[in-house]
Amino acid sequence: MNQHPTTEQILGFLDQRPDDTGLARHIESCAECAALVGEFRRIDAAGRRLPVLTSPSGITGRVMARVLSPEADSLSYRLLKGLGYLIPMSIVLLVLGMVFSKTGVIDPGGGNGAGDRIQEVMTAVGVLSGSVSEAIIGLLRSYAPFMANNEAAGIILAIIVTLSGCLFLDRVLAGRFGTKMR
Amino acid sequence: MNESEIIARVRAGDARAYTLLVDRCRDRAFTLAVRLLGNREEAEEVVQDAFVNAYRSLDRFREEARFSTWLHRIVYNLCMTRVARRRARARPLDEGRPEEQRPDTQDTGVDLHAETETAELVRIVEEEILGLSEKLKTPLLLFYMEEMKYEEIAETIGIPVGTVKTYLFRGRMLLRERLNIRLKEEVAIP
Repeated sequence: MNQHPTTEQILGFLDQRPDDTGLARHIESCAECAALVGEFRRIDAAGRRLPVLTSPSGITGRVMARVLSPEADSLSYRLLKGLGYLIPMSIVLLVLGMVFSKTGVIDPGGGNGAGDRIQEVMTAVGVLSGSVSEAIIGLLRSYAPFMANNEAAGIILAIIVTLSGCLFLDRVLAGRFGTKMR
Repeated sequence: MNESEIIARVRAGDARAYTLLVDRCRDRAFTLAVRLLGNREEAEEVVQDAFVNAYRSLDRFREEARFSTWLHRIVYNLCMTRVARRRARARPLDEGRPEEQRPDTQDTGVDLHAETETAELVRIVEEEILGLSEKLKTPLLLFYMEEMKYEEIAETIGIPVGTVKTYLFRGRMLLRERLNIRLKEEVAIP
């Protein structure tokens, strides 16, 4: 070989592709090509020493939990888990409402002030659309008339409902029950 | 117990034997996912999904390649789905990748022969690989980290072998150029 090989040929030589062109002999006798080979060898050696990261310790257990209980990945299972998450939140909501009512924080006289306030808060937070927040307010009014006319309680309840709803949607839509909750 | 024996046991109904495969492959799969996604939490989710998907599709694994090669293909596909989602969300910021517009610095390459500490060189090489575009980065990661052959890389990414060669060639050329620039800059610092 009289001419210098191309860089592609040199890389092929380094990767031990078949060499029938006398490339090895040329590299031995050509300082310029030997230098180029030396550079790429150094880069390749560094590349092959890139550190392998340690995966999180619980990963095998989480994989095996999903493998051994395939139903855990199904949407219905996630929905059930989501409901399991919402029920305690609803109980907390109810207890808070009752506490407010018993302690006189809430005037059970009725009216729509709190409901309107809830909707304002929800819209301001921007998490739920108007129609969804209306539906939730209607639901709250139907079983918690005692919270009808108190703004502070209404805001607290709205925040709790909004957060629990978001958590529920996040968990279900992101499919995280299968990966994070176990 | 070798890989084929473990797979045979899992196929025969011993799902718990799959733990052995997970333990053998999880660190490298995780490393690949972290380097492709740049995010450990997402990488963990991807690796879990990849192992679960692999388990469910184990009957389709023909054992013509190593299990890790097959698994890395699943990891790669899951990562690319997430990268595509990210791109769709931030398209204007992701345009104009710079590597093809870098100045041509075909120089003597003398600095790569200098006595740069190996650990430092490894760190710089890693940074530069991670700075490459997806199409150049992935073949290089598989080539270096997994020591895959061209054919295995082609199988993993789902592109022709000739394209793998081209990407590896371009990737290594860019690495060399960038390393020469960086090492010169570092030498120039008083």
